[in-house]
Amino acid sequence: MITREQIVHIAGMAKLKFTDQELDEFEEKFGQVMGFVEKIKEVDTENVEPTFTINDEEGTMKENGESQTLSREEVLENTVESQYGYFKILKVVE
Amino acid sequence: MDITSLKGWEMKERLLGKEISSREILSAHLDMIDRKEKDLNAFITLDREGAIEAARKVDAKLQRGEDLGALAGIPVALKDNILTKNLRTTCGSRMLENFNPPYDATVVRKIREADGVILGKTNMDEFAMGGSTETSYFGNTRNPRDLSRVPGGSSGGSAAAVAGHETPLALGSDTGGSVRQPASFCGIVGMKPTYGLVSRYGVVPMSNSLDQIGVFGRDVKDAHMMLTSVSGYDPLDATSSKKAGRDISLAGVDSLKGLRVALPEEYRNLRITGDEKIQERFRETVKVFEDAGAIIDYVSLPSLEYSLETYYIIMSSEVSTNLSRFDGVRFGYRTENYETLDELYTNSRTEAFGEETKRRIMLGTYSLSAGYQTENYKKALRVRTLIKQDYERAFRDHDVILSLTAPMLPFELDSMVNSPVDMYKADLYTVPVNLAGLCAISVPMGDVEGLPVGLQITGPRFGDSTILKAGLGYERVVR
Repeated sequence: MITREQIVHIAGMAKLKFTDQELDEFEEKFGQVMGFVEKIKEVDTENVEPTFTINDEEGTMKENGESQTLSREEVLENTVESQYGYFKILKVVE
Repeated sequence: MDITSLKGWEMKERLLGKEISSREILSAHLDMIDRKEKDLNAFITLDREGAIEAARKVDAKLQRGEDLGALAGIPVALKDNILTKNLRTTCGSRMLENFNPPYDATVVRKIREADGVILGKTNMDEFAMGGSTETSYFGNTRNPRDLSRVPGGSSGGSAAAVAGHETPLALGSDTGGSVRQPASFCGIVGMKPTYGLVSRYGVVPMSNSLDQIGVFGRDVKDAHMMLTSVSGYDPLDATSSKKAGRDISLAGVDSLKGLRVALPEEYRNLRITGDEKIQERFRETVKVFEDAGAIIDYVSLPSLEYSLETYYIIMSSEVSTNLSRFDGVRFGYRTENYETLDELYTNSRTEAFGEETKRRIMLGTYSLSAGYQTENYKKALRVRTLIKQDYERAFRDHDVILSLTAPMLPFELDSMVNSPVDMYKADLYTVPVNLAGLCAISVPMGDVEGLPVGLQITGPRFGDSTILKAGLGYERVVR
């Protein structure tokens, strides 16, 4: 089964944080879900190809040319902070 | 005359016959919304002004004698994960509480072009994850048939709005049953078309290889009208099918005579606590098909037994990658509590995502992580192939598969949300359809203990016309 340490590690990768109390509850519910999906291991899938997507049609090539995109104002409209026409975040390079 | 009790196609006939105006149709529905919304909470955002403007345009066109589109003057509600330009789109999440999309989804553009009147955006489980609309950040939606019960989900707001006569038509999205199950719970028609038939451009993705836009109506003819207004190939969606351009017609045979019906053996012995009366109603319904001349046959689809597990691994894996776009930087919620970039990401996501969303991101992240990827995710993709092949075999000499839509009646609010595995099991009949990219429609098959239950009619890929006609045939026999 999955350990608390593993759960904390996965949460770090997913950029999520849980309090100790949430972790207690999460450990239990996550454990239930993990136990539930385990069953799939019984299936014999030797020589079976994976299905990534259902559509088996070939992709289409697009003409190379100009096309309409969103304006800078439209792109920035939903951010919390912008400056000089860019998304504003923390300074990450000194 | 109560306009809201008409079907969408009846409203259109009367509009074209100049018996009623688009403005009158709209007013009747806005009145109904004013009366019922405090009980139902089917909508997150209403767009009265936009709707009034759209209705005014339809009436002006009609007066000038111009041709009108397929949805002329008919109100439509949209699930709140479908982008509408300058109309807030939240996905039922705190994360997008203030998100104002800069463009329309393809389906929205099509509705506008067809002269439909968009009423607003409907409530849903957060990011379409759930089966009861209880994981929404914007409160529960209640079932119009019994206000103490859930409307199903995740498209519960759309289903409740249609069942409550707040709108005749609505769009939802269906990743594992999120249109068909609420249709069953609310006693209306809900259809998930073949994967690739309706463009997903501008629909906030949950699980790209499974998501499909679905339609709601109070009868099959309405569902058909909604579907044909939004279907079709779209170069903006790479998974849109070129076969989607063809006609989805109701013309031709729509009686049940000679219809080759398959019943999966695997469902015959499957029992879920409390489903006895629903099973009994299902057997009666199969008898209705048989008496009307359908040929009933049992088929074996052995891999169905693993479809729930396969679904949860694939869905959560795709969810975890999709929801990584929410970083607090470009759009969506941003925490006020951060000193480093990592804290900005982590705290924004932790504060704005709900419990079920986090649980699925976690399961997906685990399934895709080094060491487990082969064991979980790739295994699931191979089982998915087996499920697809089972259906292909079944449809070689059958037209449709009949089953329940959901093995349970709409449950009381707050009675299920804390048991994820029980909630997942409710999707048993609907998820295999998404895994195989098929089409399926849920049609009301009467009541059990005073609550509605749905019959699911499943067809092969691009068999949309076949299942609609079977649904229509059934509707006529029982009417």
